[in-house]
Amino acid sequence: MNEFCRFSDAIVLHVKGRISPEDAQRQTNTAVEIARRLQGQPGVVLADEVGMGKTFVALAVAVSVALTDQAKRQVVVMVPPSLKQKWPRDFEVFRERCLPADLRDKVKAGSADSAVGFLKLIDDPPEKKKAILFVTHGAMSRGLTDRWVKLALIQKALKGRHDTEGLKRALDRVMGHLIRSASEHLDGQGLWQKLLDTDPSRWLRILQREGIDPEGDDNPDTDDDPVPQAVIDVLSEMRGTDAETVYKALKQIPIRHSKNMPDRLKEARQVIQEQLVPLWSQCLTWLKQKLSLPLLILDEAHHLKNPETRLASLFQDREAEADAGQLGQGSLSGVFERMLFLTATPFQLGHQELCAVLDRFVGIDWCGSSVVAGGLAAYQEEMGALRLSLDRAQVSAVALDRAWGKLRPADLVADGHLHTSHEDWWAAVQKGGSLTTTVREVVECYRAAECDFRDAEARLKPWVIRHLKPRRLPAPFAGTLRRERHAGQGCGDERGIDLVGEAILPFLLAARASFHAPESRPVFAEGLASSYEAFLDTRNRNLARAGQLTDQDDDGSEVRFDEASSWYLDELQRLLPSGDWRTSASHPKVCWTLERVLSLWRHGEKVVVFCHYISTGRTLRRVISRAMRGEINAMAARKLQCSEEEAGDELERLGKRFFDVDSPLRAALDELVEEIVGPFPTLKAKDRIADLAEIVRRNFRTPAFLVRFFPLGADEIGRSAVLEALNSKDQSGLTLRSLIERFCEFLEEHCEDHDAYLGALSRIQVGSHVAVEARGSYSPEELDDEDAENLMPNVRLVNGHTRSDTRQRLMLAFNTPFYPEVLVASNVLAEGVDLHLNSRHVIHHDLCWNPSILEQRTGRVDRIGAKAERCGQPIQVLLPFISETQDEKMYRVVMDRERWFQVIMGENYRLDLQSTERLAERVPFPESAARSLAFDLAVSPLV
Amino acid sequence: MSLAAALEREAKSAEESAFLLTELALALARLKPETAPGAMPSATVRQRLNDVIAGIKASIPRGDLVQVPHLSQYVERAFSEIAL
Repeated sequence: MNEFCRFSDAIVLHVKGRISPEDAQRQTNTAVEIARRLQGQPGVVLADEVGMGKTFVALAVAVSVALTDQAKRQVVVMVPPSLKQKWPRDFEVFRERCLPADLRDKVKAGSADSAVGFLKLIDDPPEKKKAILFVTHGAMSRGLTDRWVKLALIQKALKGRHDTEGLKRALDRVMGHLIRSASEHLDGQGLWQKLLDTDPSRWLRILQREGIDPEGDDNPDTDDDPVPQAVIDVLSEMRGTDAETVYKALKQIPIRHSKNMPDRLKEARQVIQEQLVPLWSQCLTWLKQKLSLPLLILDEAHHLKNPETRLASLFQDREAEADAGQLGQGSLSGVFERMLFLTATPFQLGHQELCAVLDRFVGIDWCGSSVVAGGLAAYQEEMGALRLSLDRAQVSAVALDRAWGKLRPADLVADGHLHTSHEDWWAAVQKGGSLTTTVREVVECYRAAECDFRDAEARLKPWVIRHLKPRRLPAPFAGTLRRERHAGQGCGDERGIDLVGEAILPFLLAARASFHAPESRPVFAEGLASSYEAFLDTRNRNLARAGQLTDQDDDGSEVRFDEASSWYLDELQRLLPSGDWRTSASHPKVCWTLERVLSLWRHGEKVVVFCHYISTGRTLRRVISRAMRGEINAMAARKLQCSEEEAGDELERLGKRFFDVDSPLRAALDELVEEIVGPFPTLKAKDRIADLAEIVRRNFRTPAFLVRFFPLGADEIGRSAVLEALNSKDQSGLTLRSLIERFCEFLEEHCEDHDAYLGALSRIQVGSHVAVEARGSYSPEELDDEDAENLMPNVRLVNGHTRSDTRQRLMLAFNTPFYPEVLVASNVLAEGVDLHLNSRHVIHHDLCWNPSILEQRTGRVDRIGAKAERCGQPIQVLLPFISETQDEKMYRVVMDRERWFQVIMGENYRLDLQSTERLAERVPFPESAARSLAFDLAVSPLV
Repeated sequence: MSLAAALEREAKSAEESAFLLTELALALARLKPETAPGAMPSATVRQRLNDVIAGIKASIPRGDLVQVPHLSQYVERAFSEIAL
């Protein structure tokens, strides 16, 4: 039997300073185990919790497979669009840091975000062939759109026909317009006619001679044949009559320019577009027949849960599912010999959905060079047994959930003692003794569930690998908790934010409105708990029955309210304060978040604030900016012992000195930056030092930095003052100097990322206000605020409206020690984003009904190599809620369901008032009970 | 009126008491009595309900609401709504 994958011992995942030895060992063990399992089974799901380095494990497997494969076939990694830049970046880090020099050249990667791009990567000659191919999700479903493919199709339509010279000449004048390729400037120069007369396999040379960049990326190294071999092959086998419609449409294009020209071109363009569909379909058939690849790695594999999604249907279709004896008929079925799926949320899926994901493995090449033990029949038998076992576990879990729902506080008795802590009570129950009837039923259900879960765990274990984050920090801080949660007002007793005075009435009215619509989700109460603006937005849009409130509406349920509810909502709307930022900040939770953010900012800590509502995000950004500005003025006046106005002028003067080339202050800072950069060879290049000095200078001179860290009142403002500022510590005990050193170390490790990070930092606006000249560095939506001139550049907003390049820049810059310092984000930043290197604080201003999303959000700052691991202090997760309102109820329900999510797969509970009311009243499920039931799918440490 | 007295007793503050009593009055005002055989005529029931509402209104100490003008205005509006 051919060896499918031998884990390469040359791969060293421990990169000093990047991750701990324990994490590296776990990653290595996992990669070794995946390689071992893939030898005998069609696929594996790697489902580690977020931030545990699945990417590096997958890359280690990919590289091992590429190195083992004797035919030097390519490994394909399908990645979500949001991560299409991150994966190749991570691969370059992997190549540089984890592979020895002699292997680096053997495994290079290429990326494609279109079908043509993919086809081009697979037909490269052996010396140019990339071992790892990153293909963006959707690339293969979108089909062909490329200009050169259109031209090749036109060539095919003209081929073998008489008297086409005149038509070719006519087409030469309009081809750029016809194929819509931003190459209209080439029209009428004879180039198109030359290409039409030449075989597409020789087009590259012609284009290069004409100085045309076929890839349009200004990089001669990436220049490739414009038409992939697959398309050339398919076109050469196509009958002339198949392109008849294209020919007819081309014939309609006038020989000379006329008023009909635009219409004829449009019609011909449409016909060409239509003909690309069957052409792509034939290309896929070609792929199936000709292509055999060893491994597919698919990121965010939970999207495969629905066999009807386009991504899933590429590998299998429903007919194939029904006919287990035949190979799948999906477009890519039979192309890959093995599959590795990545997801962080396997149990957010229902158990049937998880089985549906595992069913995708049926689409491997069962007749490939590496045989799967037992073949298709054994695999299907195992899937059947797994499905039955998961069914039983799910039935037990649901029975336990029901029995648990009957518990009342009075049942928390064990051996005659009434417990106030449900955890203590559960521990006492385990020891036996006298229990109430309800508790006995719960215990029986629990024991039955334990039994069924262990059986399902054993059957699931070969297919799914999952590691949970350790609850403690790695050495040398091994005793320290990794995370600390602070709920409510954050005092450790889970008491909510109190409502006092006038703030009470809106919440009472929202509660009354919800009471009159018990079968609807209390969206108004939820909106009000977020901010006054979120309520008003919810209300106004509900009245208009249109619009988007959040980046991700939870359930889209329609809210029905009667006359009484409407009366309360009208009253509430009338009552809500509207006006300046202070009014917005008077909202109890907005006020709480504002104070926390300011306190963290004062102590030099970066913080991510997640909120659900777009309007709350805007409000938070506005109030934080305004309050911070006031704080800066007050702090400066205090330190300089003058008026706020004079202090502002002084800060301005001081800031300018950092840009004065003759200023000793600037010289001192530049010298110190050079000293910091000194030990990093790749950064020592003159222009890099200059870039870094400029970045440090830009941040150093801002009023926000000066008032906090610079000795403003000092007698002498020179080198010692700069040193003092550099050595001042944040709340985590880290100095700015150490943070910059760490950043340099990071850049040294990520050489290929220098331009991205330094570019982002150079383009991020700093300073004290959103300057008119810097508005170009913002998305127009971000400045869509009447108060825009008062926004602080170190407080930034990211939501679904943020342009993707701005979003990318903000993510990179936030992950450095520099601006921005506060990121107010919606759930768009909850997945696939690294924000952990310089922040260990996350505020969930709004909760989410889905606990997995909360975990995903926190995972942004809780990742391998996080700031918390460097400073030895826990990640702070703040979950504010308003006492005795819908907000508190939501908190209680979500926290309880978070524990139940470990037990009941894919739970999708109802969000209406009655249901959540019932859930909030339940006795909380103990964490210890949830943990002992949950599947243990970790890889055992290697001996 | 016993229910009103109980609500007053259980409320944590004068403001809460005022709100709860107002809500009780609103709930009573929203009732639509219907005449049924052997029962009191609906007009009589309505009249009794209005008496109770008046009693509730009188029991709300407006002076306690000076510090919370919004609540005070809300109570006023609620009772004017009832009057309509």
